[in-house]
Amino acid sequence: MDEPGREAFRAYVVARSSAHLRTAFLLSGNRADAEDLLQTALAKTYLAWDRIRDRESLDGYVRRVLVNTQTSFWRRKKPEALYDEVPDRPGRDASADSDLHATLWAALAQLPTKQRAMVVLRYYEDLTEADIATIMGVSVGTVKSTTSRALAKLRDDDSLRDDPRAVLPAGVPS
Amino acid sequence: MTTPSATTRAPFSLLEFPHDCSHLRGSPTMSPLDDQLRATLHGRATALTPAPDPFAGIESRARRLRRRRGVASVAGAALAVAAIAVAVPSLLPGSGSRSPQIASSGTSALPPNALRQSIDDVGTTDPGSARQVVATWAARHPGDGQVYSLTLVDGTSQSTPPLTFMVLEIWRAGGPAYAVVAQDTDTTRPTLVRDTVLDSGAALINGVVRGVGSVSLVDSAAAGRVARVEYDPGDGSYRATPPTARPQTNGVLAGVASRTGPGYAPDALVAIHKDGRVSREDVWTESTVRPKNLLDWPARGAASLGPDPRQLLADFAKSFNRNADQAQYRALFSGRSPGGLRYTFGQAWFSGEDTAYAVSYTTGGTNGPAFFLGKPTDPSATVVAYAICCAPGATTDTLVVIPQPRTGQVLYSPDATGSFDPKESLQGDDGVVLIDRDPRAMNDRLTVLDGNGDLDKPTYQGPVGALLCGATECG
Repeated sequence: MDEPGREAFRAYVVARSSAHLRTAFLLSGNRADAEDLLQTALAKTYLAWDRIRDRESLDGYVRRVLVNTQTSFWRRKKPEALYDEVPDRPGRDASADSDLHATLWAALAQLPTKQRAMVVLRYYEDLTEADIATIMGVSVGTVKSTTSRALAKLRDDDSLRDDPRAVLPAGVPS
Repeated sequence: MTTPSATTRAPFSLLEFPHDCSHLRGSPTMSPLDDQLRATLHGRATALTPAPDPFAGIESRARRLRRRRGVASVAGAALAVAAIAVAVPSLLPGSGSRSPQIASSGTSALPPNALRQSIDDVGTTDPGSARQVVATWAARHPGDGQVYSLTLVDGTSQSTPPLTFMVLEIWRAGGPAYAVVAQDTDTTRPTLVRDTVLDSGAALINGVVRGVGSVSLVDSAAAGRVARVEYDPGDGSYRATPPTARPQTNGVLAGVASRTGPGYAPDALVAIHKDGRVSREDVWTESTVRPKNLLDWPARGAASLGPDPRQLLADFAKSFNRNADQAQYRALFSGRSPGGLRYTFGQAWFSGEDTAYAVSYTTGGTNGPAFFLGKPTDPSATVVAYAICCAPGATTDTLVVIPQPRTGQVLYSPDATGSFDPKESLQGDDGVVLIDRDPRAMNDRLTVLDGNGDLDKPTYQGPVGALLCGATECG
């Protein structure tokens, strides 16, 4: 990579790494793995930099590499053993809602990697099912069924099953 | 795991995680679980502090990744060759073991059908991720004998995004070698995209790795006796392509070729041996099972001039209310008319099924794109034909006659009683003839002579209409 390319890449990393680190964190479940995952994804992006013509699509490229690297069977750590208990935002009351979020976070850790990735892409990145299908290399139908299975697992989670707020249909007051 | 406390719960409030869901697409209704998930993920993510120097270490990691990849960039064919691990025999004691031990080297004679004939030069590098592939294979092939493997290729493609794959030979002591191609797709185990007994004398092992969207790569490992590997799309466009593989330090010729699109079949890898021999091996997929009535004729014409067959596949699948991902197409003839019509004619079928149907697809006509679904092809057919209509400004249709290769001249009579006139075949297309045909023709006839031109022994003589059968009627 020539010097202008290197500078452009550096500028991109500085500008966007925080956002990608958050996604990596949600995918991997803990900070150490998130940093490792992000560094791998950015290294792959570095190698592909000159071939990526559409710089507007860089975020999508990095997101795709993050997901594919995380779901790689070569990364064969057990997700349930890795989830961090990251403290909630400072100043928030660690009361009922944070209890529920902690429970959901723990339940997310039990999902298989691909289900978790789809949940993250759907509910954090707010991507469409079609976009998720493109990123993960599966059909839209697979995205729908996998996400549905993930949500069903969350609903069936022992800790969440007892919480009416997690299962009530929309419009029903809790 | 943290569990919620029943005594301290307060009503859940979205106000603490303000986010507007109205922009979300593809989810018309939101449930509390949706909202809670969103809030949980955003809450966790925003609590994360940024890394102090995000750029640190990226370049050094990129250099390490680059060393893993052996990059081949050859003009004309989208391809890349992956990084290679030295071929290593690994030993998996018994079946179902999760922690196979690694043999030092040369501990088992290779089965007679193995691609590699000698492992004397094999190194002792830990095959690493090969263990999971071998364990997966062993679980699928239970037995008492020890399991051995030889990693031929372990690499990552240069596609976007990159695909990770391995090509191995795996066998149990005393058993045949299996050709195994593994893809990195699963959370807990690799996907074996190929797991078949290796044909004795095979020059190479290949398998198809599927990536994002339409990315589909043919991974291969060829024996050291092969000098060059080329990719034949099987659509008639193959002449001689740049090599799709390059030698690795372990003596294996490893490569990755991009398939040119879904539905093209049967594509193949062409191996040019060091002794000058040439052999072909079909690209192996689960759908290598071919319909019984698939005509073994070459694809003629020029695929590059014809329409994109993906719409043909979509229309074909729609005709049967099936998914286009399951549909495959093999062109028999493709081209473009002087009036700008792009056309392709061939056979389409669904993966793993027995029956192929005659189909065609034309674009550029006055009526727009036109898909034609015919009857299942007669497996003993000596000639097939289809009619192209509706070129802008044209007053006649074009009858495309595709005889079996190496047959003789084609003769045409425009009515039931007239004489047959010989028709000139297209140069270089082995007997294919284009005939101007009256759109109202009802009784025109065709004769196709045998390769010796013997008028008494035509391979076909009969009405044209009998060759133009749609799903319900001919003519």
